[in-house]
Amino acid sequence: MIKYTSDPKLVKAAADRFSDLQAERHLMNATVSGSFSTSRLYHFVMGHPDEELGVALNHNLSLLRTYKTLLAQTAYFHIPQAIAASSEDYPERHCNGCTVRLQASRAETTQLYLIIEIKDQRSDMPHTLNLFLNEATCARVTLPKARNGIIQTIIDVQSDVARLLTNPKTEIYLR
Amino acid sequence: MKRIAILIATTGGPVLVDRITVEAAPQSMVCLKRQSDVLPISADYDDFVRAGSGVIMREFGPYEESAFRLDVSDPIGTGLSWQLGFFAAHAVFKSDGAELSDLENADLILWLTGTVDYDLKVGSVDHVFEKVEASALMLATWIGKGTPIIFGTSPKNALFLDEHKPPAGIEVKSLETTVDLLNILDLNSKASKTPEEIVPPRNALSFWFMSGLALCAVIAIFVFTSTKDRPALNLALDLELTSDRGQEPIYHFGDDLTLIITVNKTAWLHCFYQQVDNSVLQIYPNPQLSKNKQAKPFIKDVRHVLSGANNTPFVIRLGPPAGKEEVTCFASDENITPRLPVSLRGSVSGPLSQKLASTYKEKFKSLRDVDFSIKHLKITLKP
Repeated sequence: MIKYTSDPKLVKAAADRFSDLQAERHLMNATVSGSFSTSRLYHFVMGHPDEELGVALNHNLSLLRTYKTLLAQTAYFHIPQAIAASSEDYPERHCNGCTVRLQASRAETTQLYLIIEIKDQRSDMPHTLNLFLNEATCARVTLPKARNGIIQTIIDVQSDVARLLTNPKTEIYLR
Repeated sequence: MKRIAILIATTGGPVLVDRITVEAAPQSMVCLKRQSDVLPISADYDDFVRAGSGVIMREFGPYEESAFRLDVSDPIGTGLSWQLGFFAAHAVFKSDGAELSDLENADLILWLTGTVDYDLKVGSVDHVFEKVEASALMLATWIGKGTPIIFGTSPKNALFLDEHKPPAGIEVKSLETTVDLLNILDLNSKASKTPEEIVPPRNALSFWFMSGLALCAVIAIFVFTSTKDRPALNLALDLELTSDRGQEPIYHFGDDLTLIITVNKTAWLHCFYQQVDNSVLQIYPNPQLSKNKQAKPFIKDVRHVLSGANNTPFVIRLGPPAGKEEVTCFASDENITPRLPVSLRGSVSGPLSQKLASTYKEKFKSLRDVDFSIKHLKITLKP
């Protein structure tokens, strides 16, 4: 039988080296907000996939502010911060024409149903859920197609999205 | 409780239906490996479940909630050929006498492909050959382990499969409608038999087989009805007798003997076991069976498993002496038990008398106006 072993010190050294290389690459390729054109950002807001831009939003505050401004102008629904905290584990958030809620899964306790109910019959259904907590924290979920006015997907209890949705101070934009 | 593993046949390989959970969500979903990955067929599954557009709620509802989460072992891409398998999974989920199982613990493996329309008619699908090819390796493993496998599909697809002569261990069932499927699985009947209903606990039995150590438990395990497209009314009665180890099995002391019996017409069965010393024991019907319930006819075109695994009808544990032994089974087209001598009616424990042991076959053959099929199975018993 073949048995493989590894030296923990060697593994640690390799991990450090890879981490350094990644940091170096990131610094060498670092961009400022100006490197993303407004049209590119607009397309991203409109739902066009852009992995690079999505990553940049996580650590580029000025880009995130611009993104939020564009989103505020174009979102189908906006749910502002809740006035008061709810006593429920998964409080329902709603605005005129739209409700966003979480529902515990019976099958898997580590998972939640994210349910968005759109009351109006409309042709332009949201395809992204954007969550903002203060200026620097943002999470984004690409949504499946709506069916009969309902958008439903599953998220992990430990995810940023679940954490933000249970926080009454989170602002929600649906685009 | 029957444990049924349901495989959805896909061109990427068979996909196991892992579990079904009733959920308080607005829409039903199909998830992968119990994770939060939602499969793209979820929308179609929701339609298939929903009352009005689908059949699941209509056939198996009502439930306290209107949605399900169905977990599968591997991705299912596009198309609707999963409908038959999902329908079977919901039937099992609803049933009191059966439960969804993994492959390791399954009493029966169902390999299904086909659509199900609003009238419950099973529709044909494409790429059946590719699906069989993609499943071959996995199925070979379970054929080798003796787990019964049923291929269920539309009559057109079943004809295609039959023409390609599936290997022993796989039975192809032609399904006009899902009613045929439910009949095969015996999920329609409230009188679905479970070992507990018919037999006392195993450790309370004292069946005499194998030097007084063998236990007896009870009746048929997989009771399926026949498919509609196989006319058998004018056929001569034919009995197929084999074992989980083939036609010339070799067993060792302590092994459980598993007999697999199929008849082409509804038939009554009498089975005898001839030991190395030429003594003969009647193993079916037997005193434990008649004590609790009269022997029932064996339904046609169904693999009846007698003895063997934990949940199967008989337990025959083999023991010394070593040598060549033989099982002889008589299938008859009518219940001949009342016409037999008392000592052949399965109500007397112990070996047959020497005289009867040498003449019992003639007793059967002498019965008039009875259609018989007689089969033997030679068994090699080793220490």
